[in-house]
Amino acid sequence: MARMRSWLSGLSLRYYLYSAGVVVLLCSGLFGGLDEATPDEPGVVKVAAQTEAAPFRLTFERARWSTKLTEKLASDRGRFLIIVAKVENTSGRTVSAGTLQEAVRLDHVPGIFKGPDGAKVVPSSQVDPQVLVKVDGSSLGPLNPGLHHEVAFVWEQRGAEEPPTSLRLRLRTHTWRESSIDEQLGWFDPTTYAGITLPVTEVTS
Amino acid sequence: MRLPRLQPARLGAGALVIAALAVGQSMNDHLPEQHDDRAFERTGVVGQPVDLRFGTVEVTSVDGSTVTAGSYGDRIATPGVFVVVEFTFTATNERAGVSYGELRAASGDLVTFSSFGERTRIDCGMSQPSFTNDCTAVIEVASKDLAGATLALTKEFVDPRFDDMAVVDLGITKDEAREWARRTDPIVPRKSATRMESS
Repeated sequence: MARMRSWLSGLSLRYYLYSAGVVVLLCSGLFGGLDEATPDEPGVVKVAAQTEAAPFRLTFERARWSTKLTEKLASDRGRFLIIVAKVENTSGRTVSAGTLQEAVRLDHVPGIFKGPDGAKVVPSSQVDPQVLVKVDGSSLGPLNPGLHHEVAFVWEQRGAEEPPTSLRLRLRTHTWRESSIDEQLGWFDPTTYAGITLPVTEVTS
Repeated sequence: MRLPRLQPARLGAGALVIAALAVGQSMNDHLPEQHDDRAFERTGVVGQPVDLRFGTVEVTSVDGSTVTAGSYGDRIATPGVFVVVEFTFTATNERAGVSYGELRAASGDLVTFSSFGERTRIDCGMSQPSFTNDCTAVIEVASKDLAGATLALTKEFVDPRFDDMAVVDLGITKDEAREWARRTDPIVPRKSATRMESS
């Protein structure tokens, strides 16, 4: 015992730290070690089926493309990609427009402009779509509780690209929690839980 | 490098640090939660002035329809009801305005809004001390949330927790809510304006 104590006291601090690191690495090996974690496969939502993307209930109805969005709004640099959906805020309190925009991500569509005013083209999954109320073409803005709106999610695509034949959306759910900055409660942490693919047809009027 | 021998003085310092952390954690557990911070509410009814630290609010009329004008003047429609509330605001000691509102439904639903909105918004502007502004709030709300609803108004939309807030019973009945949910003639909200005579 005395020999053991003498041996241990003779070891350097660096040796102890290395030993601790090896122990941690061996223990983590039981759970996959340094392997890349495989994310859960997102679910699949069907067209016209209701889905819960907290704090919203969404039903995606159809996808269209058109060079004209409303009587007053036409694209002079390409076309609008439009997904029509029913949306309801189920949280019991007003939710910001940004939260609804963050709830959907358009994947792998080339030539999407970052916004209605900018000329910059970015990966489509980085673009927050405009959300317009279908019945009057106004911007939806914050969504109040208990109302059922039919809305259009709108992206603008560069004219040099071919119009897509289908649109793939990632759907994201939010978590209600306190902000770590100002301690106010809000919807944070958009997380993909499902995807939906909609065939696209041209609007002919 | 060898492991340092533990000295009594170091042990004492470590114990003091741990004790200080424990005391801090205990104080944190027993102090009031941040969520208890909320505005000082002053209640009233339609037609009654409500005095606040920074001014006086008086709701003068309440009306509703499924159609109104958006902030850009375009016709907008809703599957619910646009409640249009006219009120006055008179600043007391410093330049101020009303820029945050809540419609609190009897069901517990909460509609929050500010000066920055198209479908749901406050239009009030800023009032100089002792001058009165004519103001309007347009609130898009589910018709089931109308009867028994109260309207809360205050000046600070960034964080409304730390000032006075007027809470006014709008006096809406179930019959009025049903009538407004069927109404299709538009209500055109008045624009905010300052009355030229001081009170």
